[in-house]
Amino acid sequence: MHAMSDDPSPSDAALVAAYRSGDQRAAAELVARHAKALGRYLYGVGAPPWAVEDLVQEALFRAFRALASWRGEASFRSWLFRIGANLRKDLYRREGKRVVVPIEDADVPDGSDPEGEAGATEMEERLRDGIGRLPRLQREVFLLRAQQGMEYEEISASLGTTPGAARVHYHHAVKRLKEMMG
Amino acid sequence: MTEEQLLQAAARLGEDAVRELDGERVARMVLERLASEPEVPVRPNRPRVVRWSLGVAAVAAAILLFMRLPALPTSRTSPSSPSVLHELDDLTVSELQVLLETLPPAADAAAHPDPASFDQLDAKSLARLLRSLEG
Repeated sequence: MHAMSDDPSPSDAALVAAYRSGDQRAAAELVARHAKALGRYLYGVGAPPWAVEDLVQEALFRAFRALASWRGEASFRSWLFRIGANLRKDLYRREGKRVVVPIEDADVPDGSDPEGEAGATEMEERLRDGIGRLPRLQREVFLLRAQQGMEYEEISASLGTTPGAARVHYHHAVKRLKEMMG
Repeated sequence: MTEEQLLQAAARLGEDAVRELDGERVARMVLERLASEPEVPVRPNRPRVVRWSLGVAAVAAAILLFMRLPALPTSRTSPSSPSVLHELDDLTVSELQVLLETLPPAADAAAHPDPASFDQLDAKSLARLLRSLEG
């Protein structure tokens, strides 16, 4: 039995093992650890804001159901992100088009610098639009590296490519995004 | 835009979208679903290359099968080969009885009526019987 209390900061693998041994708190800890990062990633790959929480929940549910198929070649986090990206792709197919929330309809948070906030939101929308125009591998490598801070080894294990190829995809993505965003 | 600005923007991307996302609530929902929804056996997920190969092999097999099939005989009842039994319509009862008696005995006698009972049938019934024997 893998008990969470044995380690103040257990690894994902230890939490997965604990959950598979029946420890529900381990699942709650994994969700708390990855839900927001997964949500940001799904938003980055084009999930509409209204769908992010549902997709996060569905991806986590499917991940826990399929834990037996997680062999540990890729990290739990990148494996979870792949499940989420596939779900987002399914949603895209069902919707038939990418749902883009117009900037004027976006929920701009209140702040002391509304003009600055609006500018940031506009830049975010342009970036997100640019990312959406990238080929799939460039898009996912860029987000896993630039947004999630993953190493190329982890990215390549997640996407089934080599670290060298991941590096090339990343540099192509950066070059194209810089061109697109001026 | 410089690369540094691009990477800073990417690092912040989606912060607002998940601001309201409550990890504890999501965990509770996921655990509830795990407990309440029955586990469906998952079909092994074959790699894409294998799936494509299987698909191509199936199409190739279907094409080969189609090319090797001999031309199917046309149906005996199709308009291009009218049934000879259409001519039964013009026969009399006695002619139909004679015709029935000339038919070879069936392998399964129980499946066919006794020729002695043909006397009791009218022309329409005899014609129907002959058509049924045509198969």
